Amino acid sequence: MLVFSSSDKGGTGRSVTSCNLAYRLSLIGQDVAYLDFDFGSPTAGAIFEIPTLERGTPDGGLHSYILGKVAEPARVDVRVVTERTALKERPPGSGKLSLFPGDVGGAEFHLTNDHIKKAIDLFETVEREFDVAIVDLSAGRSSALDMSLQAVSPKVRPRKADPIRWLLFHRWTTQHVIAASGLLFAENGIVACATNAGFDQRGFRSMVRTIRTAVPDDTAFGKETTPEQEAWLRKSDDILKGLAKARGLGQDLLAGLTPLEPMLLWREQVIMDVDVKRRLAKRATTKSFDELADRIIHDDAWEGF
Amino acid sequence: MARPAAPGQRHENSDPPDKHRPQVVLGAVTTGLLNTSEPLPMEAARQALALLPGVSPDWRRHPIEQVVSPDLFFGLDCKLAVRSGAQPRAIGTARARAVLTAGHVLQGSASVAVVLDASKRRLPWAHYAARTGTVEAINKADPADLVTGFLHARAGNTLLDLGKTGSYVMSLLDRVPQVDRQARLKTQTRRLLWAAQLVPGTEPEAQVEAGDDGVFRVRMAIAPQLLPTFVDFCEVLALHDWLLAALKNAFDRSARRGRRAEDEIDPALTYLGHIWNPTAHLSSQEMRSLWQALEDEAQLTWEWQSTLTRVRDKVTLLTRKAIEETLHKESV
Repeated sequence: MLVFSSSDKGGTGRSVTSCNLAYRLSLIGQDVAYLDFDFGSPTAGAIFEIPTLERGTPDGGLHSYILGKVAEPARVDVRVVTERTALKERPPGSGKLSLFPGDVGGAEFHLTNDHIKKAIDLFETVEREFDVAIVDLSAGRSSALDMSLQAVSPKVRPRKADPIRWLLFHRWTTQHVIAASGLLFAENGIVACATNAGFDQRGFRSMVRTIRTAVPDDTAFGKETTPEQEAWLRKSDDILKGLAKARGLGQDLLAGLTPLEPMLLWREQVIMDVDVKRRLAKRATTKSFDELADRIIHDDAWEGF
Repeated sequence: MARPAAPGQRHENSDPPDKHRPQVVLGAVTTGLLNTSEPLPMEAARQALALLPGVSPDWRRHPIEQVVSPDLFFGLDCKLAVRSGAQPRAIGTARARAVLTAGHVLQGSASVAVVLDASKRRLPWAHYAARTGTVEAINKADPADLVTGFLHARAGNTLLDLGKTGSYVMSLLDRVPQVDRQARLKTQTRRLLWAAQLVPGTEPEAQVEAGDDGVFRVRMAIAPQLLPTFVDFCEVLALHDWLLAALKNAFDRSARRGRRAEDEIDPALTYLGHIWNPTAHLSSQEMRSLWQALEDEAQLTWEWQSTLTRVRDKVTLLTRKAIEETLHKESV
């Protein structure tokens, strides 16, 4: 299964949530590959706390592979190379977790058919080894996004191949909702691009789900929340819900939401159960990642919600 | 029915002058599952592996079906890795072939024979084209240094990378019509690197090393006439290393949370269970004793047998559980 992570703006928590999803998916027994397609600023190495890959790899990452500079992209077993001790452990019944890093100093490129062929080969190779491959795209429109759509279009992908999920991450604010809706539905947006690549519009839209990130609840104001603040928050939330619905990002498209997690405000990282146990992270955060992971691998949940 | 000429063989036959005799042969075997839902029947496999127009692949039916593509040659102009000093530049062609075992396990096997200190500059291409499967190194290099350099170098863009050549030959089969791209088993491609120093009249002696990176490395001193059987040995070792890794992976996956064990075990048993038979592929006495020495040390066959037994025990237990559940339902 291929899962694409997209967002309109930077700072939405797309990469950090995707890394956490990858980790959670591996915990529930899936073999997971994380493909860092954020060629301009690969960050997965830092999130998984791999010192040698903090800004991508110097030897033949995904960007070099797509450009045809290396025959095979670099890859690492996250549990082997991470500096974080707790992350090194592989619990019984869990699956593999591999990172295909981007390149240090990668950049945007002009898309050609050769790149698309490379991407097709890459996806096919990882799908033969892993249950789930998460492809983290850079914010906004990019060549990597176009390339991905073309590489999985029904024109080239075998009909019986595993399903594709397209995730759109956005923060739960007015600006972000508007921007995300634009990225998906605007004239040159993702849906238009997908139609160009050979998807039929309805078919593609059924693959798309949104994830609302860093959604505050009424604890966000602190311990002594005034009734006025509570009322204001509820009202703002309702306004946002109305806006999202009007912009086509309503409940029917919602895969889930992640709560505002203070730990992630300081440092993008994998939130582990041990962080909850030590009372550093919120239980709600890991729970939301677990729910998302569970939804991603179950077709019925995908069709139903 | 015979397997095709292995790397280096033609040189021995054509008996070149001493200066152009290769001192080192380097190779890599990449092994993976052919991307099909069912194994290719013999006829389809022979069609698929006819990678060179007009040349039919070699094949045998017993004791296990195996088809070997004709040799393909790839032009090279690259650096050779060494431990110290300047990297020699090597120009010539690499020899590569695809081997399909049991219609399902695909190998890309590539090699080059290295002639050291052959010339001071690059010669016209016709010179190299006439010496297939050979590269000539400009500048001097120590053969032992080349062997270590090749086996342990980090991949780089300008360095000789025969694993890449093998992968490329394998990828040629991804697009043939007989391959449906619907493999039922999750597997990882694995790699074996080998390097042989050719020493006339020497007794074969091999060092086999299983690296942390999952790569087998075989280093050997060998008499030139034994080289083809040594290449067979490396391909057999790569095949069986892959089989063991694939079966273990399937067993590991069958114990995952939220997964039906039989979905993993069924294809693994059906497609891989019957292939293990290392000595069947080794025709020469020297290589059989080499394999025996490896078995004494690493006990690969014992490990395969015990893993297979675990898998089958699991099937038995699952069956018993299923029967009990059915009986329980009926009695309720």
